[in-house]
Parts: sequence; C-alpha cells; structure tokens
Amino acid sequence: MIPRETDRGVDESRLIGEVRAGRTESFEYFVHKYQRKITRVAYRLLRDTGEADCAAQESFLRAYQNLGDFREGSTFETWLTRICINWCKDRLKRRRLVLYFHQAPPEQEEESGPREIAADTEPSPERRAMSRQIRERLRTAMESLSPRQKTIFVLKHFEELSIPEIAELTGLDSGTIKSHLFRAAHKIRERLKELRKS
Amino acid sequence: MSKGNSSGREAHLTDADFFTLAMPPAGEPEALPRHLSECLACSRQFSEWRSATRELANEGMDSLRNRSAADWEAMEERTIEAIRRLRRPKPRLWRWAMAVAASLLLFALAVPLRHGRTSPHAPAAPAQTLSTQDQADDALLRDVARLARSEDENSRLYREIAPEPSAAEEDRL
Repeated sequence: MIPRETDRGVDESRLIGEVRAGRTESFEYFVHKYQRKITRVAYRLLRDTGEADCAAQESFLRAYQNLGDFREGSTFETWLTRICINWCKDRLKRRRLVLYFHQAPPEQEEESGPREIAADTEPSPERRAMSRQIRERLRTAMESLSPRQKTIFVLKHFEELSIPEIAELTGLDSGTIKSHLFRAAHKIRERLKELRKS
Repeated sequence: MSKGNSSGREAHLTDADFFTLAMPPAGEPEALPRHLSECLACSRQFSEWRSATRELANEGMDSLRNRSAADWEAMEERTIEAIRRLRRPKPRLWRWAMAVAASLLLFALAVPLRHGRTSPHAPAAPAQTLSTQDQADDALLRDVARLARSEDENSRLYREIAPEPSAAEEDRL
C-alpha cells in the first residue's frame, strides 16, 4: 500500500528502492507530497502559473527517469528541488523573462519612528501608485541579472533559504553564492541609479 | 548610502539605498541610517519600498494559494498519469512494426534454407546449373539439417563430416 503524503515517519529511501525495483506506484507518494511545493518554487522563478505547473510536472518526470542517479546522501526533496531549479534556469535562459524578487524584511526590523506613521495607514490611491512605480523600477532593474543570479537571488530573498541551503540546491559553494548575491545587488543598485537619472 | 550635503544635513536616500536596506545582499539587516529617523519623507519612502517589495513577492501567488484541493489533486493526477505513460509499453503501432519486421526477417532466412535443402523425394538439381561453391554450400546445409533432425545419427554424421584422423596424421599433428 502506498503511504499517504500526510503519513509521518515514511521511509522515503525505502519507497525509492521500491520504485527502482519496478514498483512505480510508490512514486505517487512523492508527487502527492511535493507537487505543491515544487510548483511554488517554480512560480517564484518563472512568474507564470502555467509554466510553473509545467516545470513541476517536468521535474517529477525527470526525477522518475533519473532515479538511478539519486544518491542517498541527499533528501529526495532537495534533489527534486534542484531538478526543478535547473529546469527553470534553462527556461529563463531561453526566454529571458523579467523576474520579480524581493525580500520582505524580518519583522524584528520594525522600529518605532516616523516610518510607522505611514505604515499603519490604509494605502491611499497615491500610495498605491507609488508602490506600483517602485515595483516597476525593481522589475526593470532586475532585468540586468543573469538567470543564475536571479535564481540565487530568489532563493535567498524570496524563498528565504540560507546560503548553505542554496549551495546544496545549486551545487555551488557558499562563497560563490555570496558573491552572486553581492553582484546581483550591485547590478540592481546601478540600474536603479540609471533609472532615476533617466 | 548617500552622503551628507554641503549644508551639513544628510541628503535624502536614493532608490539604490532603499533597495539595499530592504533587500540586503547577504540577508543580514543593514544598519538603518540616522537620516531615516529624522526625515519623514525618506521614512515614508522606505516604508513604501518595503511594502512594494512585499507585494512584489506575493504578486501572482494568489493564483496558487487560491487553488482548491481538487485542483491540486487534478494537477497531481496529471503528473502521475504522465509518469504512467512513461512506463507503459511501446505504442501498438511500434509493436506491430516490430512483429512484421521479425516475420520478414524469418521469412528471408527460411527461404534460402528451404531451397538449399535437398529432399530425398525431390529431383536433384542439375549439377551444371550450380557452381562448385554453391554445391559445397548445399552439402554443408544438408549436413546441418541432418544433424538437426536426428540425434541418434550424430556420431555417424560427425564421423562422416569430420573423419577421425589417421595415425599418420595424428603423428604429424
């Protein structure tokens, strides 16, 4: 019997072994458990619901077809996410889509002061317009990032993953991840300055 | 951050500054400049940046969040169906093509064998129409067919096909 995705203590290694042995039905557990999360990650990167669904499905298919390459040192979730990220990166390379990234500041950054005056009020049409302009400038600035930089940026600031987690997902070392993050931020800042001048 | 202006008062923050504060590269919160607590305009602007980036993050996510459980199950079923298709046997057309090709191959192999075999009831082929090589091939095929037909005769046939070497030949070998 295939375990339910909500079951606790499911031995995923055992299920992978079963799939490898030809019991393909066992793979359904992974689909039920991870499809939503993978779709969400893909959406963060691609910003298109249809493409995110496609990316998720393709990731599962690739994982199924290449299950022999899966190493026990990693979790299936990490491995699957890596497959999805690579798929999305390829997609981004092809279409060079504008991505939207950002990081919502941690709650503890909230400080007393004049900022709260504005934050506590209901957004007026004027503020909404301003917010729209900021988003537009950010979108434009982020066009300057390479697909890899965008991916790392999203994972850090959007998925709120730690640098070691990003390193595991992308196969890069932590130093490289930090370097990409700094370069990405630098590019965006420079682009924002140009936009301001223009 | 932007430096102070000539009047000694710090200049207003720029978009680049707001971006750095809202999305610090290393993920660690940047120290907020003192100007931010003194300038209401910049403070408001920073607030706008934070909310804008937050909105940006959630832009479009509602379409996924608002998906019903049934919708998600349908998506999962679609994926599972795609995986099932992967493990299914090749399409029937391919199997038919394989069967036809195999039949043709067997036929092509069987025809020369049948023509090459000499039936005891069939009239012998005129020797003059076959070359020496063809006759030798025919003889070989006949021997092979006889071997296949009768195991009892094996020892005799082997002797006929490959006679025991004479003592002189053994010495020479």
